[in-house]
Amino acid sequence: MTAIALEVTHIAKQFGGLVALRDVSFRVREGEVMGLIGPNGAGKSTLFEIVSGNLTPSSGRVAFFGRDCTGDPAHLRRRAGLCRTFQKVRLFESMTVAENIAVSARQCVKPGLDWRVEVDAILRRLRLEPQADRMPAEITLADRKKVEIGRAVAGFCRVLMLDESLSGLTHEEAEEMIGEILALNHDTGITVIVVEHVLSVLAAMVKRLVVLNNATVIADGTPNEIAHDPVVIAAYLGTKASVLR
Amino acid sequence: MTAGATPEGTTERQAPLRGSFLYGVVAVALAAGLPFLPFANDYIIAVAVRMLIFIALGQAWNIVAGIGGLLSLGHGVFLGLGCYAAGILFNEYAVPPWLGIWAGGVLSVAVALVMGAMTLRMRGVFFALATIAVSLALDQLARHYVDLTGGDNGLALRFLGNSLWFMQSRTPTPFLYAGLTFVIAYYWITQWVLRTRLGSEMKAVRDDEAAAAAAGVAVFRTKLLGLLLSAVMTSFAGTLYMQSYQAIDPETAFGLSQAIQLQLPALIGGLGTSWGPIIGGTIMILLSESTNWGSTKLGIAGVDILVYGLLLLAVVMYAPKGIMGLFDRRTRGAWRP
Amino acid sequence: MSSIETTMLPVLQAVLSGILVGGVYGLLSIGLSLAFGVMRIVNFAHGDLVMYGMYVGVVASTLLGIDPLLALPASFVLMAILGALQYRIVFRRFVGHTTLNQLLAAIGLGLALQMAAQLVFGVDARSAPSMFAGSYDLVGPFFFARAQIVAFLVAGVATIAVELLLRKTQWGKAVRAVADNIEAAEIVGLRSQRINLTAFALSCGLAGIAGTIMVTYYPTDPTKGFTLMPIAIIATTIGGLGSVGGAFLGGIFCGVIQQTTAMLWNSALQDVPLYFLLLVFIAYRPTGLFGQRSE
Repeated sequence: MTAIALEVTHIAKQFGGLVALRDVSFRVREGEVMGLIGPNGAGKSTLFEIVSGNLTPSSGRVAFFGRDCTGDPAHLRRRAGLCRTFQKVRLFESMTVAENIAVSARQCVKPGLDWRVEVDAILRRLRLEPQADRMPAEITLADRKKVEIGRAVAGFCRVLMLDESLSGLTHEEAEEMIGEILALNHDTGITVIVVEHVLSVLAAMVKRLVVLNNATVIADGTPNEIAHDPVVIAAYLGTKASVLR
Repeated sequence: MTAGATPEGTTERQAPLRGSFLYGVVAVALAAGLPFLPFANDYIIAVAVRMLIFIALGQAWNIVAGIGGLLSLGHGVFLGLGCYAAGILFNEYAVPPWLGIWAGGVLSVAVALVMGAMTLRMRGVFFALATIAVSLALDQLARHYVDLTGGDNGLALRFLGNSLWFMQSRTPTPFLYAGLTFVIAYYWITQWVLRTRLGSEMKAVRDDEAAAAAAGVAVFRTKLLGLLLSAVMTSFAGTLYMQSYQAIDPETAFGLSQAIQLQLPALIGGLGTSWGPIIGGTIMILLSESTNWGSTKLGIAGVDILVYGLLLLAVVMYAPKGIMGLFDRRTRGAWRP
Repeated sequence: MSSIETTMLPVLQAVLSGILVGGVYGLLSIGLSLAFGVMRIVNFAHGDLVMYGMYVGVVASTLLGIDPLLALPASFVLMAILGALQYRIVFRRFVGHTTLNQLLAAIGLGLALQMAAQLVFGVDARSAPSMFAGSYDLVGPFFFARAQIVAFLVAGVATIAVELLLRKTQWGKAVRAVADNIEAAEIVGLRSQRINLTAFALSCGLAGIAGTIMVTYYPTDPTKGFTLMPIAIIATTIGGLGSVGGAFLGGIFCGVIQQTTAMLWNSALQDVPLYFLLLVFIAYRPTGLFGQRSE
C-alpha cells in the first residue's frame, strides 16, 4: 500500500461571479504518473496554481503526503518537495543554465549535501552538461524545458507537476522528453502529474488520467477508459480539439 | 577563487575575470597615492572624495536595484537619514559621528522595514512610487521642523577643527581614505552578496518572481533583505557625506537631482555588477565637474542637471547594460532591466 | 453665530476649496492614468508637460496679449505634438511593462525638459491671469476664486469628454482593446503602435490643458512639473491606476485632504498625509478606489 502523495479535497474557486472550479477532488499515489487533461477553460490552470500555492481556493483543501498545506505559500511547498514547471517556460534569463538550477538546489538541498554536487548531478541526468554555462536565450526550446524541469527537481522533489511540457516540441523532442520524465519517475520514485490539453500525447506516458471540464472532474480512469468515455467525448465535441487529436 | 575575481559570477563554474584583481590594486593605489602626486591640491582631492562617496552610494543602490531589481527612486531617504541623524546628534548632544552613524543606520532600517513591509508584496511600480512618496514626505518634514533640521537652509555641523573623534578635518585628505575604505568595503559586500545564496535569490526574484517562488525562494523576504542592506549602506555613506561636506539641506538629501546622482553610477557602469558603480561613479563625477566648470565659464546655471537628464535617457535607451556590458562578454549576466 | 458654525464653517470652506483645487489635480492625473492604463507607462515627464502648458498660457498672455483661456486649444495641440514626439523617440520601446528603465527614461526626459524650460524662460515665477482673475464669488457663507471655478469646470468637461471618447467611439474601443491584450488586438487588425501613439498624444495634450488652466491662478516656474507630479501620482493611485474617471475623483480626494490638512494642521505640511495615504493604499488597496485592474 503506497502513500497518498497529493490529495485534493472539494476544491472550489470563484473569481468574482465566475466559477473556475467547483468540488474538485482526486488523489495521487506516490510514484504514480498521472495526467490531468481538459479543454481550454476547464480550470486546469486554476487548479494547478491552487495546488502549487499561487492561488488560495475559495473552499476545500490540498494535502501533501497527508499534511494539509492549503495555506502554505508557494516557496514553502516547493521546499517540501511539491515542484512545478510553467506553461510558458520561465527561466532566470540573466543566469546561466547551471545558475538557474543552482537557485533551487541552494534552497532545497538536504542538509549535509553540497548544492554544487546536486547541480552537477541534475545537469548530467538531463544531459545538459554542454549547455551548463550558456544563457537561456541561447539554447533550444526543448533544452529550456529541460532546464526548467531540472530547476524544478533540484534539491528535493517528491511530486513534479508539469504544465504542458510537451507543447511546442517536435515529435522527436517530445518523445525524448517523455523518456526523460519517465526515467526520472522510474529512477527516483518522483510522483509526476502532467497537465495537457489533449489525451493523445499522454496516452503513451500515463497509466491514469483525470479529466476536468466546466470547472469540475468528469472522469477518472485509464487512458483507454477515458478515450471511450461518452461524457468525455461529449465534453470535447464542442471544442475544436477532439480527445485524441 | 580570489576575492575580487568575478564581477558577477555566482558559481565557481565561471572563470574569474582575468586581471580584475590587478585593476583593483591599481585603482586603490592611485586613489591612496593621490595626495602625494605633484599636481595634487585640495580641489583635486575634494573631487576624488566626492567621487568615492558617490561610488559608495552607487554601490549601495546597486544592491537593491541592480542585483535585486527593485525600482527605488527615493534612495535619498536613506542618504538624508544618515546625514541628519549624525548631524543633529552631534550639534545638539555632541555625540561623535562614530556613534551617530549607527543612529542613522537604525533609523534607515526602521524606515526601510515599514516601507518594504507595506509595498514589497505588490508590483514593482508601487514600490517605486512609495519610495518617491517617502522622500517627499521627509523633504516637507525636514523643511518644516526648522529647530531640529535648519529648515530650507539646511543643517551645518559645528566645526571644531581637526578631530578624529568628531570626524572633522580642514583638509579633504582624511576623507579620501575614509571614502576609499567605504568603496573597498562595499565592493567586498557586493561580491559577497553576488556569491552567496542571498545574491542568487535576489537575482532570481529580479528575473521572475513566480519562477523564483517555484524554485523555493522566499520572494518577499528576499526583497526586504536586499532593501535593508542597501538602506544601511546608503545611510552609512550618508554620514560620511555629512562629515565631508559638513552641511546638508532638504534639497540635497531628498531632491530629484540627488536621487539621480545615486542611480547614475550603477546605470552608467552596469547594473548588478560589482565594478559597474565604480566605473560609472568615476565617469559621472568627472562629467559633472567638467560641465560645472564649463557652465560657470559660460554663466549658465543648471547645465549639469541637463547633462544628467540626457545621460540618464541615453544610458537606459542605448546602453542598458552599461559600460560593463560593452566590453565583457560574461556580463550577459549583467541585468538588462 | 453658534460655536459649531464657527468651527465647522472654515472646515467646510476648506473641503469645498479642496474640491475645486482637486478637480484640476484630477485633470493632471487623467492623462497619467491613461498612459498607464493603455501602455503601462508611468510618465514622470507628465508634470513637465503640465509645466510647459503653463508657459503656453504665460506666452499667450504676456507676449501675444490674449487671454490664457483662449490658448487652451493651442496648448492641447502643442503638448499633444510634443507627446507624440516623446512617444516616437523614447517611450515606444517601453510599451507593455513598467520597468526600471522606463521610469528612469521618463525621469531623464523630465529633467531635460525642466532644464530646457529654465534656459528658455529663466527661473523666475511667472503667471498669466485670465479675465476672471481677482474676482470672487460668494455662495452663502463660502467664497471661491472665480478662476478656480472656471478651472474646475474645464477639468470636469475634459474628463467627461475623455471618458466618452474611450467608451463611445471606435477609437476608444481600439484603445481599450490594445490596453487589454496587445497581441489579440494586433491579430484582429488593430495597429497598436498608431493607437498607442494617439493615446499618448491625448494624454500629453490633457497635460497641456491642465497646465494652461492652472496658470490662470497659480504661478509657474521650471520646477513646477516636479512639484505637481507627486499629487498626480497619488491621485492616480488612489483612483486606481489606469482608470480615467477614477483619477479625476482621486484628484478631488487629494485636493480635499490637502486643503483640510492645511486648514486644521499646517499648510507647510499639507501634502504629508497624502504621501502616507499613498503607502496605505499601496499596502491595502493597490487597485485604488475605482480601478478593476490588478495582477
